[in-house]
Amino acid sequence: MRVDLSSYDLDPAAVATTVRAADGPFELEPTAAHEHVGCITPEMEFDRRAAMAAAARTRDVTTTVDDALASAREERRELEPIDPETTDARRRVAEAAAELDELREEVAAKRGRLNAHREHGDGNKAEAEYLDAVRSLSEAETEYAAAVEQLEEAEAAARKARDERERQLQLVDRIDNLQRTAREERVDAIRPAVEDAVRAAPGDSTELATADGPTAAMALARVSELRAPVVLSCRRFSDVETAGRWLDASVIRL
Amino acid sequence: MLLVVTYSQSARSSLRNVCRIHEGTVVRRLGRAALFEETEHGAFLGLRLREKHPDSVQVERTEPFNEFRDVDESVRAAAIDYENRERESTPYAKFAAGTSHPEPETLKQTEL
Repeated sequence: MRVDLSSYDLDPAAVATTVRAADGPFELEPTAAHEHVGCITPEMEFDRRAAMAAAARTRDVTTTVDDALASAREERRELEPIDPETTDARRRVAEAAAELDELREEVAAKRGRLNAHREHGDGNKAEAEYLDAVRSLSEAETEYAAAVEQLEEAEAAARKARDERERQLQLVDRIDNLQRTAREERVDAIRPAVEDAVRAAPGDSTELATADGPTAAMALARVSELRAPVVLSCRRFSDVETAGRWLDASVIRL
Repeated sequence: MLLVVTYSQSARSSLRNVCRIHEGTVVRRLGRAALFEETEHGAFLGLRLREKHPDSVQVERTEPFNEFRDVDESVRAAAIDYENRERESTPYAKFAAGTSHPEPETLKQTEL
């Protein structure tokens, strides 16, 4: 597609937004490179390094860390730490322990009472109360043991969840590092093609670093797969056909 | 668990080696400190580090923290209410003043 709309007074940014819109006029979604160099205007400036990385991605440049990155991301996706609820388990242990202390004192007191009554030969009621207290104490001991066990299980699960959280943090760092490496490699891989394009571009630029914004953008657009028309509002080519051929892309000339 | 804290470069690198080799006994690595399992092996590793770096290795034994057993109800309530305070910028002292929440000084002077 090569369209010359220069007779209309259109805003390049607005046209680019329309071109890029998800529900826009084009069947294919523009690539990430389009964001960087899909709208070329006389005064433009942009992050050339980021644009190079995006350009390389559109050309499916592979890197030495692709596999490592994919498996790190995969592992990251699979990790779903489930944090167990340990508060209730702690509360249950604390309550059971308090109950236990209380009942131990009660048993000791009732044993004292029982002994005193026995000396007077009328220990029946005191004995029943004592035996009641012993039974309650035994139940409380069972409850305490169960509470402790439950807490231990909850804490083991919590520890496992913390292991997974730590692994997640490590993976996030690892993914960041690998992405950095991948980006550097992509930029290095695409650089010769971009430098060639800069030298081939209209004008007399000799390298990307010193080229003006539009020249750098044109060079990057030429080596990128954009999948959507370049919006071009600077007059570096005689007509839209020439521009399209050089950029190897569809062009909307403004 | 056993908390092992190192206070020199060399102790730190010994700890790192120990952690790398004895993963099974290491519960958590925290920069220049680590938590070991509370087993004889954990103790053994801690003691070895202390033997090697007597002045720059601290070994502590940790206990599980149960706020319902170890902490007064007023402190738990203060923590909950303060974390749910309306204005993020209110310092605790101001927040507690004139309420039933304990004063910061009381908190500092009362041992668990």
